[in-house]
Amino acid sequence: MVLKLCILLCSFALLSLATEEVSTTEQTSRLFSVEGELALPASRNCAKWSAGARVHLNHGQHIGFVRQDCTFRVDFVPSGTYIVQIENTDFVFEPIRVDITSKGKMRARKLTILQPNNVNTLPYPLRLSARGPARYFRKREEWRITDMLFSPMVLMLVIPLVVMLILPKMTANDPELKREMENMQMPKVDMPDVGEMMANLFGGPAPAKKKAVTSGSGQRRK
Amino acid sequence: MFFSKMRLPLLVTIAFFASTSAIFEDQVGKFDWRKPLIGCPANLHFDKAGSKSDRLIISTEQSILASLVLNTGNIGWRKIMEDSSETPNGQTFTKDREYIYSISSDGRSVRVWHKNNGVMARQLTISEEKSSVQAIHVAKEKLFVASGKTLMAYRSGDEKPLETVVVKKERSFSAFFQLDESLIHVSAHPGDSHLELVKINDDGSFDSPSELKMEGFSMEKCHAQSEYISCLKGSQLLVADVFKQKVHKLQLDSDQYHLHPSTTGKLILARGVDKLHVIELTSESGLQVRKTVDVTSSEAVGVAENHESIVVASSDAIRVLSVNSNHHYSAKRTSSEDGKIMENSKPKRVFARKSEKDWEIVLVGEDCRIEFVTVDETSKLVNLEWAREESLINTVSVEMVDLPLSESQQMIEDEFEEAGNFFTAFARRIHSQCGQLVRFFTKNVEKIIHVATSISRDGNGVSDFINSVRAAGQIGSASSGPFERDYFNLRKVIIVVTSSGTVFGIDSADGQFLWKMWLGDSFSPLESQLEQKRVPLFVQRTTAHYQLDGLASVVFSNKITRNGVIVSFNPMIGKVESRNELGYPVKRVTVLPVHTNKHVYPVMLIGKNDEIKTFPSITSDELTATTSSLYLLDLQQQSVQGLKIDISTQKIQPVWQGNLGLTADDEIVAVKGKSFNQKVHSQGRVLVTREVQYKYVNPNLAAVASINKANQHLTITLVDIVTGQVVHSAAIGKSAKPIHLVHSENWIAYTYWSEKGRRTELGIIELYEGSEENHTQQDTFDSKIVQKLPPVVAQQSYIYAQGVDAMSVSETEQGLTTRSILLAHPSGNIHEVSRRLLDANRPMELTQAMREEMMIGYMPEIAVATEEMINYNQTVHRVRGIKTSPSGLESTSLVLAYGTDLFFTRLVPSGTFDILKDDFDHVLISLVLTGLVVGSYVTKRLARSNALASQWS
Repeated sequence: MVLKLCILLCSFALLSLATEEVSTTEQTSRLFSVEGELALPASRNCAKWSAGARVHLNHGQHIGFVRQDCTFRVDFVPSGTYIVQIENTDFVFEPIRVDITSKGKMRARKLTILQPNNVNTLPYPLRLSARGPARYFRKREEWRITDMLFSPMVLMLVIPLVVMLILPKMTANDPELKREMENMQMPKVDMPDVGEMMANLFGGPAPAKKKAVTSGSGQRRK
Repeated sequence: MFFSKMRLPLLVTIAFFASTSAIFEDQVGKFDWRKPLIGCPANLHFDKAGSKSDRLIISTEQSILASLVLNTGNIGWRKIMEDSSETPNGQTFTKDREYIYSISSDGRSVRVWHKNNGVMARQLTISEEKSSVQAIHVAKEKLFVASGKTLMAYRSGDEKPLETVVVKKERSFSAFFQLDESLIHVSAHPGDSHLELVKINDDGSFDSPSELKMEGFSMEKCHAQSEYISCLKGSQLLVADVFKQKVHKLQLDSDQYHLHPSTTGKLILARGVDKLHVIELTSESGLQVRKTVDVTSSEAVGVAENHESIVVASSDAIRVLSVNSNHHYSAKRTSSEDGKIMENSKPKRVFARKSEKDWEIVLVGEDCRIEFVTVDETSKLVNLEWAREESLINTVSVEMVDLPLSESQQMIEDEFEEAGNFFTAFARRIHSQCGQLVRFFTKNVEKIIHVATSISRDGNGVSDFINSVRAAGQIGSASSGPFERDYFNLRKVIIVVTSSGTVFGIDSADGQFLWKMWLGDSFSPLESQLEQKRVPLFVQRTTAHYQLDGLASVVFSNKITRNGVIVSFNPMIGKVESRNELGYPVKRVTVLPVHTNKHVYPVMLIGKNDEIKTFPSITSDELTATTSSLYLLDLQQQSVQGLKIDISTQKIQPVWQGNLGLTADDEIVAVKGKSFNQKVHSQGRVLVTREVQYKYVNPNLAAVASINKANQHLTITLVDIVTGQVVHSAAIGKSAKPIHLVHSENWIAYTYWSEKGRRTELGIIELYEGSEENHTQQDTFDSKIVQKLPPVVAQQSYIYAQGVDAMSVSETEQGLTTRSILLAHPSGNIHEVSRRLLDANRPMELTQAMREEMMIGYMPEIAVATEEMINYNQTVHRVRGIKTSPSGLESTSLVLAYGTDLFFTRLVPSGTFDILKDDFDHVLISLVLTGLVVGSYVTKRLARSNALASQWS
């Protein structure tokens, strides 16, 4: 605003000195400028980034571009209320609401979209800082050795292998363990003999355990 | 605190839904492509960028300033300025060694850009008055700007003006002239017969103006260049030498001449019907015709940058003529497109310069095609370096058409087409399977041959071999593959119609042009009732009938006669089938819902005086009882009318008329009906109480949005077109444009700007017939049955923190997938909002039963997260429309958004539930399977030998 006045005064001084043809127009301006500055994370240089950035007032009603020093000015804005947003693809900026009175007084406040009447004043000229980098993508699950090992398919391959190949080898060195293992596995080894199972089921007196199972299933069927 | 506690679980559920839509980083560019555009060039400069490669600085009719890399034609940077309506002359700009100075915001400010990267260096304010009379000049470390009444001087690098002069009268012309060290600003006021000259001193100050008499000065017939202002007055050519302050005259042989608009330098070009005079002003002999060149109306003329040669270009040749000598030569242009139909218009503008080796020429066509060609003087060959189709920025209609059936698919169709007894059917089956086998072998042989040839061509290193094998693997998916439907019908031909008069066929797989059609020099778009440019496109016959080619039509009007024109073409190859000019201007265009015996849906064209024609004509025996008439909604000045058209007798008769409750203050901003082939998968919605709420699916329903200028009420009226019955009407207070409307199934979604809340709001209206008892047990909806009960209406509004440029809804094969609403933001993002979130039935309080049904409780805001942007960082600005089309997969919808860019992607609103994930690990699963099989054999062996050993022991 000061700058603007200065321009006007300057031009007035010059105009009054110049020829008669020069007229005195626009004493009271009804259009104003919204100025501000952007703050990026320290790692980013503004000079390059600002090529892809624009400033939107009320979703594109007025637009401005960001200068290389990260400042911006949106000109020719009539009085009213505006939402200031920064368009760019790298960072997320918090929008700010700016009220311009008919006399050109600026007031900036935090934009609370749910409660528009909530006043939370911010300093003017505006200062918008990047809230964080814009994330557009989901993260792929990283490849980890534990994921690989515990995936059901690998488990399916590895565990039978361990049981079948490594366990007998281990037990082979230790006769006591071997004996123990054999004792443990004895009933299991019996199990898969189909012929015996069939015989037990259909012919002759079956062991008590098996009988219980068949009767149980029979009941369920009823 | 309490509030935040309550919100947390909601946020978690929303985050859960939201996370399903984003893509992975390695999927970038896999399913999507983008064509960035700059628009139709109005002003073009070659720019030598020192040591780096050369550039073209272009300002376009769409108020975009861009820098193109000369070697490749790619965009170096692009600045999208304020949306001022069509600027045919583009933005006024000038350049010096480091910066580009452009006048923007309708002549109110100057923006200074770095040439290299397009970063804004400074911003200077001229005045608050808008003006289209602009001039800008850089000289002697100073910047001079003239706009409207203002004339200003700046020292380079300053933001404060050195000097400002404001005149009283409006200007009609303004230009700067420089000759060596002296600098003059020349302006004219409308109605005056003299020019006003202001000399600019070395310190940047302006002298008092002097006058130069120039009769018959009018901006349309005059042209300013280097140190002259030339005007045509009848058959007399007047040239004012600005520095000597003298007017020279030359009598031409007729008054058919006009001055060539885009010349710079000292040569003045006057172009007649069939010849071009090259005129030069010399101090000794005044005006003098240096050369006369024969030109036809299809040729464009340009002056080379060194001002010593004239370049004349037509569609098939380029002529270069030297002004000072008789040296001239012509080079033929050959079209490099093999077999493709690529119709380009005649060139409109020519920009040329001479480099050490050859001529570098940029041609801009009537169709906004930018071509960069080099002409070798010795071999007389025209070499096309690159071309850009910039008319795509004016895209108005888009359709996606399936590719033709593949040979094997055709065979299957054949197999089931004709009936027969057991033996013939069996024979057919054997035949088709033999055919498949043959196809398989020929394909593989082709592949092998391709690999072999590419190996012998590329060299014999190992890496070359691997590369060529890899390239061969990609045939079929990419451009060189057979032109047939893929397994999931994901690849389509996108037909794009622009308001510049071009039609393109684009391959949806990679965005390549398949064909291009130029609709002729007399093309002019239709004006719609809501005052937009329109070029309707209809797909009349798809490629589903493999014996018959597809058929599509565009309708436009003749620029001269204003009569309607319909052009029918084959959508696969762009071959024009027929072109018909009607005897009347077209008011309404619609496609009929019935097809002829040849499976063509005719297009009906209704004239201003209710003339009716259909293309192709339909006979009465092709019409069935239910489709004998068509109902249309007609907007008039104050009222709305329902029309009934009897297709067989071709008579229009009004059925109802009314104002829909709208007053004189109401302005209709949008009308949306439903497409007649939209599929609604489920008839109802199951409530938490296990009841079914039936949808009110009325195909004749139109949604009319209107805004009241007096009290700022937005009214959404749902009207049955057949009966004129207002089904529902909703009013929203304190709202303003922009308003967007989407109408699908049984719901209407809309956005508007809420003045009260100072934010965009998103509304939804859903219509239901009520629960079971009220549901009429009918298969099809019939408007004419006297309506029992009004539909049950559910509506809800949500806050949306972004502006909306365009709105659309996803479309899938069966309509089973939850739809998504697509919203284009002014910032260039396209946001996907699931219908699950934009739901009129989100409960205020969640009960346990609702939670089990995965319902989402009501929250006033629909959050906008960057993960939900379907175009991630590939922004599309000024989006005018988003076209969605179903693919062969139920989960997938194809999307094309058009604005300053074209962006195509696949959309999966509910995730890819019907195919494997694209990162599915085929290698691991096959390894595990083979491992298991091998393992089981080995263990079997081992077990047997073990058993044998134990037997022996």
